[in-house]
Amino acid sequence: MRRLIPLTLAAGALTACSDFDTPAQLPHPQILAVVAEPPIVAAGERAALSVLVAGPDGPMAPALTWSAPVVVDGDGQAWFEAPVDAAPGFATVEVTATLADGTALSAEKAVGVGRVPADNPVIAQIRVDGAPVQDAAVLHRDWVAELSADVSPAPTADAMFAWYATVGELSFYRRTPAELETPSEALTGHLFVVYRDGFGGVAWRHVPLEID
Amino acid sequence: MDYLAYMPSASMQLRTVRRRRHHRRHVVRTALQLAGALVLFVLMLLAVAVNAAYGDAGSARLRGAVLDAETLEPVAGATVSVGDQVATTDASGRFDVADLGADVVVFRVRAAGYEDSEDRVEVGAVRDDGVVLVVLPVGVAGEVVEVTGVAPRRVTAPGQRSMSHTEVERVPGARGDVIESVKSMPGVAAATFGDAELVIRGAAPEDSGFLIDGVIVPSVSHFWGIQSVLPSELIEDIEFVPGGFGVEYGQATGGIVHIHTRPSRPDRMTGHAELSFINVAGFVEGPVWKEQNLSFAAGFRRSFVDTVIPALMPDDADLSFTVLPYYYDAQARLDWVPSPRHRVSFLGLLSFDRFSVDVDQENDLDPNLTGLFEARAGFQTGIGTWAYRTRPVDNTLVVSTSATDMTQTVGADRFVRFDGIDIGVRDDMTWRPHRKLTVRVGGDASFARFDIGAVMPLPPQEGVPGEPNFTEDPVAHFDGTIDDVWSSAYAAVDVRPVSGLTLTPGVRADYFSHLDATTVSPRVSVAYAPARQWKLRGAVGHYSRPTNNAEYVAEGLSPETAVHAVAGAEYAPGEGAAISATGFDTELRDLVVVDPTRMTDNALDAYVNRGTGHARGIEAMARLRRDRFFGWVAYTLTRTTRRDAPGMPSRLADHDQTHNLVAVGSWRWGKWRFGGRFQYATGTPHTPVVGSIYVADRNVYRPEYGAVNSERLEAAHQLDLRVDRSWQLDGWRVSAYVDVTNVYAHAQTLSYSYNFDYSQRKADTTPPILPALGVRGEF
Repeated sequence: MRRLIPLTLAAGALTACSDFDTPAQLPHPQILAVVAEPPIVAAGERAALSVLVAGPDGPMAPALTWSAPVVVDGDGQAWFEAPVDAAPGFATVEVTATLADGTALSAEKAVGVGRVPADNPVIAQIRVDGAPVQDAAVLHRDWVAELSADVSPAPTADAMFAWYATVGELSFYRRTPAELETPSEALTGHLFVVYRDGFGGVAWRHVPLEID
Repeated sequence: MDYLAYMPSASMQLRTVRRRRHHRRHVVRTALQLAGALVLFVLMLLAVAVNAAYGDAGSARLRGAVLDAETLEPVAGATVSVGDQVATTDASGRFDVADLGADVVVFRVRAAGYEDSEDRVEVGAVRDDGVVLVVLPVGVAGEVVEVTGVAPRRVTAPGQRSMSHTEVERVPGARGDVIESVKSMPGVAAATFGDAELVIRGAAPEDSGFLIDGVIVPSVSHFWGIQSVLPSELIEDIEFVPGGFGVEYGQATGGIVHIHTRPSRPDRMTGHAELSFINVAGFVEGPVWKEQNLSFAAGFRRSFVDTVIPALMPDDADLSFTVLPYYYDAQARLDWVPSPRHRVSFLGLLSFDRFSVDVDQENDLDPNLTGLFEARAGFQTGIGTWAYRTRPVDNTLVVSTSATDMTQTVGADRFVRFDGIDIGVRDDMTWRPHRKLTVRVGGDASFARFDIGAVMPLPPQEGVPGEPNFTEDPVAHFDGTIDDVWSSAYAAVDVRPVSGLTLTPGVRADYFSHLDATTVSPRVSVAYAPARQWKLRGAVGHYSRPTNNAEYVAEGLSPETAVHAVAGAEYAPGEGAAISATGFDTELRDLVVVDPTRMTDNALDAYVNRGTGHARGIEAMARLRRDRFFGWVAYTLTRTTRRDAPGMPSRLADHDQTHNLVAVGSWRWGKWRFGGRFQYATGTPHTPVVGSIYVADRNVYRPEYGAVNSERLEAAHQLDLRVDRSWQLDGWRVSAYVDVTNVYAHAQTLSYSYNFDYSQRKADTTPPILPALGVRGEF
């Protein structure tokens, strides 16, 4: 090798910071999660698919369009059915959520096919400064609150968190604990957390957020 | 983490097959290595033998001029004596001394109102336009005797340029930097601050070769191109060959930038200390042992960015430097002239860069690209040169060694580690058996051992939009030691059948052991001067280069190749003035591209030699050099295309730049010097983002791109100004400069940044204005 590898990658460290809105602020409607129940299915079995869409005003229920081979039954439930001769691996399904104003949001989700029994994880509790949240997360104004979640099974190194809050400013919103800096006025909004176990399993929780 | 654990079985089988094939080729490879060594040995013997037969030094003749050191005005009536020869300068300060009996002579200059001066000049190392002797007026402290230029090294290629170290130091906007100054040459893509790479005639940066005294160096710039690793005061000149170069050069399919360092001063001790906007520097040179003609030069530079950053960083910044960015470099040169025919030198170069930063912020586009970033790069190079010059034979033997150490760590588990050491030898011999014939033969060989480890996405690839994504992209794994040998041999003859016409056919063979490949590159050039003011040149040739970067450790690749066709004309209406135009056509073959269908657990498997490319264009340049002024206007029209696989549509190359206009001027007025540079260039192509899809399992958006390079960034233009002023203070010559880049603050768009779902973008631009200051004291 006669020349050094360019050091441009290191420069990425300094350009990572930007002044765009973050996804955690929910500046516009987004798909927050696509859940397959169960996340891994055996050949010939099926998984129920659902989508969490939310925006500045909270959860939304847009029209969903699924790509083949997903089928939607009479109750509007989407199903992925693994062929009986399916080889172990992942099948990618795509969904498009069409909002009332015509905006289309697209996402893809990999559904595992194999003999490994798997369940989606569970978010047992959201905590604010260590205290469990009951019906709503109530925070003081001008405060930096620590947000955490009790999940089961315990997170591995592959696990990922995603926090969203429509009021205040979230830091470290891709890990737990996250920090929410509350505004200096009383407001109400929404708090979401999505947990991915890194192996296809997804869980999410939503609570109202009140700044008193 | 052992990458072998992730190697797919198919690749393992492939390796086994390759090993068997390797055995079959072992005999061929060994023969080629021996041939390379034999060529070098034979060259040395030939040099000695031919000298024994034709060893008469003969008589030489030198022309030159004596100039006032303060005003650079010619000094008339000065007496120039060399041994028994005495000449008097005419009204234009010129002199002519014949029948010099030695290759190294001592010039003594006496003129009314000026200090006497004396200096030793190597006759064979002086350019054909002569010696310039500079004398100081009586009463002005210090004495400067300067010899500029070197002998023409070979027949020049069409479009070839050179820059003296004086021009390098004074090109506005270049801040005295070697690489930045080359960006003002025709055929080079427009200068961009912070871009260390040179795009020459549309070639990718890695297609071009950088040499120092005949040796390819591991790196030419510090981090982000902020400064070249070689200070301008160590430079004799820069030889810039944008294409169609001769058989002496290899391992490049684009252009060549060859930096020639200058000998240290043998007459007296001198030096300087400098404080510039970015670093502190010191330089000293002088005799070690005058009787033995032994002299030295040494320099050192250290950045002080690390002392400035803490004051500029806001308290709430989401990043913290664990090691503040810094670099240093050092140079040392020893020159020994044991006899008029021999010159021995040793050049030592050292460079080191380091920084470490902890980014404590989420990265929405690439969640894994956050956390600790650490980069460390350094090299030490030693270059020993023995130049042996007689009338019929010149021979230069260069022995070099380099040790390179580089580490980059990105986030939790991505890294590249590279430790290498190589030893090289090169010999160039020129034999002039007849006034109408010059024979040039040479060869080089390098033996290297590289210890490489990497777990990284593939580096940016031509035509692949976006930056490497540490969350989404497949990862390349490598962990191993590579023993690499490459060798080459070349031969060319300059035939002058009639006055003014020189034909130069030649051939070069390169062997690359890690690719298990040999390339044979025939080249021919013609130069014709139908009249004194006119020069016509043309060249056609085949070129090759080995793979580098991540491609270097991939298997099953071949050298990239190119065919250059170049033709040009130059008209010199008067002394120091020249107008030239050059047309070029470059066909690129066997380009390494990424084939997504071959992607496996190891991204290195996706590399294939399927790409082709084409670059064509015209360069024009008008240049003027006067005692008080130098400047040029250069324009380049280029179109560069790529085809990523046979049957795929042709597209614009990443670095295509249709128009590039640069005007440079520097004018001396007494103790002041004023300079300016204006540059305009078409925006480079980029690939638009037309949408995105949310990858739900990884919580990132994947961009959807439009046609590759189907849009262009906005045109780039900027004006740079520079002012220099010098004073004499108690035996010191003090000079200061202000070099302002982008005076009218036009922010040039370099690329675009996107928000988390690619629904918004903003332009990443150059600094709107960048002033640079420097003060230098010379003794």
